[in-house]
Amino acid sequence: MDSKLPIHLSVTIPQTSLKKIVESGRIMEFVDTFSTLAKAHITHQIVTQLTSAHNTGVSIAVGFDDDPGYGNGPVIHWPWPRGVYEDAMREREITALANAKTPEVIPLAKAG
Amino acid sequence: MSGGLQVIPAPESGVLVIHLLGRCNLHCQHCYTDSTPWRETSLPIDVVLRSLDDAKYLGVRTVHLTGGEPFLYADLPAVLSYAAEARPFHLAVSTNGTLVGRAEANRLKASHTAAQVSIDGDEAYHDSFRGLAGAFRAATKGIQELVAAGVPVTVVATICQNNLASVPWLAGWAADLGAECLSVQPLQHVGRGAKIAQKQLSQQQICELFMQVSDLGHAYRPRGFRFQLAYRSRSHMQEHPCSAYVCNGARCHRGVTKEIKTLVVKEDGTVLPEVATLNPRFALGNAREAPLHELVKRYFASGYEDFRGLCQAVYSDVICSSDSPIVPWDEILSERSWTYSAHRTPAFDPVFAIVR
Repeated sequence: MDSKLPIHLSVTIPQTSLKKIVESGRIMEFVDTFSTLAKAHITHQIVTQLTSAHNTGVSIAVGFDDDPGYGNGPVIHWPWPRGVYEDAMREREITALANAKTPEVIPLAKAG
Repeated sequence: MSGGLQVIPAPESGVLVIHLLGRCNLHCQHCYTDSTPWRETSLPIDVVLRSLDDAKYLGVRTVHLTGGEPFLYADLPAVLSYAAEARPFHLAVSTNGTLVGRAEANRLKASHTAAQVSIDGDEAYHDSFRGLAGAFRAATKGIQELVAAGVPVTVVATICQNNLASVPWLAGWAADLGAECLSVQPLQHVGRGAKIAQKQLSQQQICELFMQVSDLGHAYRPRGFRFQLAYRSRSHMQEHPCSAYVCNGARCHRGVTKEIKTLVVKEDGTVLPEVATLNPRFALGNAREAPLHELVKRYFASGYEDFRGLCQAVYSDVICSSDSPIVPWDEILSERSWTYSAHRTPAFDPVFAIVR
């Protein structure tokens, strides 16, 4: 079944406010302002949906900074590559030690 | 030069950014590194080569050479050869493109180096923004040489109020020249960009830019031309705090204790974690004084927790409380690093909230 992505836009205007706007001759100004706000609201919701980690398969065609994928939107459990990290450095040091030339065994008597 | 350090292949993918020098032949209005034609500071070649050796040891897989203008760095050919020679790096040079001729393009090709060339609009706008008449024509010629030589080119555009409308034109221009990608970077409040902060995009404009770029991405997909937005998805960061700091949360899939994703070596040798414009108080040290691997080791032992605290605090403040779907994380982290107090308790830690 095709899932639904909710985009909400709900506005209520007090009747007295509408009356004031209309009777002061500012209907056009009101609609222009309201349209701008509505556009911003819808844009915000659409972009939030599209950039969501729970994106439902809608394929955006832009990669993000630090996004290991491209064009599919962020993926919820993407196996991000690791940076420079402590555990790996420790492992390397241990391996380097293990691979180092075996030191000569010092007789106990000499070691004192 | 690595003094007998053993290199073990590992599935890491750290990034090393080397600012070779502070000098640039342009004087761009927004430069985040405040580069000018008069700056003298540059990294000695031996420090650069030692850093490349160390990078290999540290598990770095991508090296960005930048500046200033890297093609003003006299030893760039030697650095490219050294980095390319049997070193498993993805190499990239960030340049203004004005000094790239056939020889430079061929050199990048020979060293398997990609190029990121900054272009911000048409000739009149670009020259004005970049502070040099003729910069656009020279950079265009540079891109043509790079494409002819077979070097992968990304055009990087800094977008502000003045050139927001020119993004479709930039895409067409870059694709026609043979570039592979357009990276769109909204103007940031860092470096000289702070002086023209009034030209920054609003959150609404950034959302519209995202939609526009995605639409362009679909239109240009058949030509193999890609788009990148130099911001981050807030939703993704909410899902993965580990993209901001080592969270070790219940759902963390990275499984590391201490990590730096990007090491930045500045032209004076200062080594910073993640962001070039970070407060030097969070520096690992100086690459002129000690090799990178030593600085990283010391940092993980002492100093790292302070930086992690900064990242976690900024994350709690910005990612958890803001509702902007697209976030300029690096810019915010950089800004906050100058005012951060380690003694402040983060307002909310989503990871620990989940664990508890």
